[in-house]
Amino acid sequence: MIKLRGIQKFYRTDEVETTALNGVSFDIQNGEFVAIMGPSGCGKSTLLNILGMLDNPDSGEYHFYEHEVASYTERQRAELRKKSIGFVFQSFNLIDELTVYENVELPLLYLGFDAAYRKQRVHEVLEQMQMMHRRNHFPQQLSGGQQQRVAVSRAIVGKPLVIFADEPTGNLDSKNGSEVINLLTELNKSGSTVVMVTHTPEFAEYASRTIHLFDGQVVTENFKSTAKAA
Amino acid sequence: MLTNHLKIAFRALWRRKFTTGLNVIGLALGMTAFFFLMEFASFHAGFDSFQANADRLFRIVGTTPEGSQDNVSPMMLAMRSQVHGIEAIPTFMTSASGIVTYKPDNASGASQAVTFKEEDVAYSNNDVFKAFTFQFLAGNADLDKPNTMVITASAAQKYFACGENYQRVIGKRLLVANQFAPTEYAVTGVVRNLPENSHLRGTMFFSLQTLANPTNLGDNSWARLVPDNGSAFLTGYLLLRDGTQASSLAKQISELSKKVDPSANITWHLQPIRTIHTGNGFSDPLPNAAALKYVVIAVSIALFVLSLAWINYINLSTAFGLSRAREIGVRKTIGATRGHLVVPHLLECAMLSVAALLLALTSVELLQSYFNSLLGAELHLGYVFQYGIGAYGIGAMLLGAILSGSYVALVLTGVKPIIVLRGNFTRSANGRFVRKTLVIVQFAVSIAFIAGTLIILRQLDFMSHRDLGMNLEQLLVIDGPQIVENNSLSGNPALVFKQEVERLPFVKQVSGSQNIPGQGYNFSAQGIMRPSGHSDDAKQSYKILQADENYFNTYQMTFDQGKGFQKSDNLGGFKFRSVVLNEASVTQLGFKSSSDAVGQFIQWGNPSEKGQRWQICGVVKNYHHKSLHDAIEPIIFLPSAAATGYFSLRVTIENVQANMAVLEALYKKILPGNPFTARFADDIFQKQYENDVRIGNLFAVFSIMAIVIACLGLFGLTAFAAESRRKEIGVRKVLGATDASIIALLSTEFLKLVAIAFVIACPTAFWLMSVWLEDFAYHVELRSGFGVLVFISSGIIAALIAFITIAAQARKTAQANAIESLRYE
Repeated sequence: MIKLRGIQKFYRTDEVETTALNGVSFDIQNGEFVAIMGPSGCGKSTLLNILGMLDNPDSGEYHFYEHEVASYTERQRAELRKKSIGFVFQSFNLIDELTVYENVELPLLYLGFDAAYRKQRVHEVLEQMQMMHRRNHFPQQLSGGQQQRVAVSRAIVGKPLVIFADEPTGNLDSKNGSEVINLLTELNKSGSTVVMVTHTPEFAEYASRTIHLFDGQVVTENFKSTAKAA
Repeated sequence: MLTNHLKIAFRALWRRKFTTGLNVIGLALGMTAFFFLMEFASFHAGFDSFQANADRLFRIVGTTPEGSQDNVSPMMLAMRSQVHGIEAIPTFMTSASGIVTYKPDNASGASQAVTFKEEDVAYSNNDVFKAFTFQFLAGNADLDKPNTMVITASAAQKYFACGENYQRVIGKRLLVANQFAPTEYAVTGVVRNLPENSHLRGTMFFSLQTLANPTNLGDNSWARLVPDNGSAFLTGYLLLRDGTQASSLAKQISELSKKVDPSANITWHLQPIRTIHTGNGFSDPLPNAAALKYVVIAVSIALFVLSLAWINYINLSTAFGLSRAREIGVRKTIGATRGHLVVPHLLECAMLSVAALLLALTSVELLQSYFNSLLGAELHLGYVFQYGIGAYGIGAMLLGAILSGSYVALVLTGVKPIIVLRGNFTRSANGRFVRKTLVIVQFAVSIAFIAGTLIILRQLDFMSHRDLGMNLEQLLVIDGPQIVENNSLSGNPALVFKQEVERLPFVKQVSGSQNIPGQGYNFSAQGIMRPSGHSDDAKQSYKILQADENYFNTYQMTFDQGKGFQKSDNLGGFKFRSVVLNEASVTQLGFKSSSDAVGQFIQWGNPSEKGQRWQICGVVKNYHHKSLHDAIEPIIFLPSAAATGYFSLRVTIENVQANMAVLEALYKKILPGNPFTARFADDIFQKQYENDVRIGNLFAVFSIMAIVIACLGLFGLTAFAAESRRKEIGVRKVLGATDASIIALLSTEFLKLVAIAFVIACPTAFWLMSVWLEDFAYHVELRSGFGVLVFISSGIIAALIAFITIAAQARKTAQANAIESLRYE
């Protein structure tokens, strides 16, 4: 359960102050699939960074389940983020030196799970993502779509409460893009909360709710009774 | 987890082959230089550490209030009974060099005898073998008995061809012909050769007790051993009993010394043997290299070069590491703590260091003989690990690895994930400043090295081309005979040889003298003054050289006033009618000028009491009898037609080999039993600069290494700068920039750093090299056009090398397709 109230974020240079978010408030319920849309520079990524606890708001309240995150130190946020959040990035952000298997295993290593569990869980996820046959490949040996599937595997391997996806289809062609959206939809159906930033209205339709941002403010919220079928 | 980390670290290094390669090569170069220099430093600093009694073994050194130093003691042996706390008094007399001959029992003629001239030989007592560490291969030491000797394995093999069977040598007799009466010695023991790093040298130790018998002394009654006192020409050491304080013992000795000779005002010190090699040089006949300065220089260069390599590592790793910021950001995003991230980086550093270390050790192994020939030494890696200084060095190396590795790890893992993921991560101004500073340090060191090398080379050139005041070209020096059988009908065979040589068609001039330029004098003397002089004048010291009447002509020296002496100026024995002075003597004696001196008398001691009175017949212009390290000393030349220590021959340049064979045949015919040794006078003179040439070589090699390391770093940094300014360069090219202007753009930034380095390096190098030049009485002047030229050239050389390095990299970037660069972004 996520609750944002009056979130504000400013970027300051020596002479100019830019408002990135200006009093953003909304709730996200457990199991929801939320798409965030808006033109370039409207604050989508900033909002996602705050939601993902990579950044702190300058003012406002951010409740992540029972935690009031806005007042947390970086270390506290990192700890909470590690346990509760999975990230999927536009540019995949896989680590080039690690194989598919090792990339997916990484969050479990940082969470301190033992080797046996890690092996079993990574296999499980790779099977689910149909990437098992590629487990010993390095990212640069995979197609974009495959890389994003590995990234999604890595995001869900630690069984996070929420998956944040920042334009996950931005670097993919339409076919691969659709595949990734289908994956996220599947995950949502199996109970995961998904929050996705996207430019593409077509993909936003897969979400149960779309939040539109403009100049750092929420302008509309479209609820759907049923999201587009995968 | 560790294997995982190792695997990942390896992959990370492998993927970035360019930087990994630069890092490994740079570090390996630094480490190679480091090991070589530490071998040198450890070798010298570890002198005599192999001695089992090193902690209790001291050399006795006496100093007078006038500052003169002495390490001989006429009451050496008296100490045994009167000073408490002494276990042994090892004693040497080193004036023992001469011809050693082995005549096998079954040999009928001298042709089967084995004869060599031996320099590294000494008389000693049996305590030497109690106190110093010798490994006996056969027999033992029995030097308290007269006519016994101990020899080293190499001497045993040389004379007896005994192979490894040293037992066979025991009891064999060698005939020793030196300044004392020819005497036979029986070998009682064979010891392993003394290690290279022993200040004590020697291949033969004759029983000192032999000299207690006056018939064995020949004409040298000065060397007579007085019971309980020894002789005045001994070099002494003390082995203290356990728990004895050296300082309190030295005090006891000084008190005893006052008792024995109340007029002698000598303070006695005990010098630990470990410090002899690197400590103060005392004027004793044992080798004493005063090498501490060179140890300090070597260690400083070693640390400098190693620092340059670590600086490279830091620079390259932080610069290229920034391209890894994304990876670190991602890792942090998915839950890595800083601890998780630091470990793999440290592992990477460790792996790089190990790879560089292996490469360095291999290089050291491969290049060792080359390095040794540069230094004229027998060094090996073992020395680095054997003694204390090497351990400190290795410690410094590890510390360098840990510090630089940690710094890199901390810098790289300090990035905030949000900044990286937001995509606007750029090089921090702080990191840029650090990298620039490090480049400046690298180039400052390189420029200082280049300047140092140029100055050393110039000084060497200066020394080899300076007008010495004599002509050493085509001058052959033959060592005089040591065995002279004076019973031949034709007179002294050494003089016969000289006469015969004079008749040879290829010999233009011949001179006999007791010593030669580039080597030394006969002796030093005090008490020489003008009859009207002040009593204080007697304290002045003069160098005395005995030579025949042809000496000045043969060496082509110039007379300022007067002329050389005649044969008849020697009145027989040690009596002289006239003598020749050099200009320095004229000044020291207090004459106004050479013309004022010629015809005047000087005296040595009081002429009424067995002293001497000499007339000055000529003043020879100052010439460099010794190397340019030493100022020209006052010399008094005494006429001696019988001076046959060395024959100097002015020869024609043709058929040197054939002529040499003629000379050798003549020498062996007239002077049988004496080994024939002939050298050219200029070689003898240049030999004095051997150490300086080595230092020059050392500097040249390490300045090349320093500049290569600095350039490797610069090459990498330029690659990085080019990479991170790719878009800017693309835009500039689209707007019409030429390749040359792009190269200039990238070069200027780095050349500015070289300019700053130049400003820092010049005064530092100036100061260091001035200190080095102070060692030479005659040297190039740094505060001159030459000095300015050296520093400017050093700067230009460094800048040029830097520019070539940068330009090679910048050219590639400049020529890249602009569209590619823009698309890349």
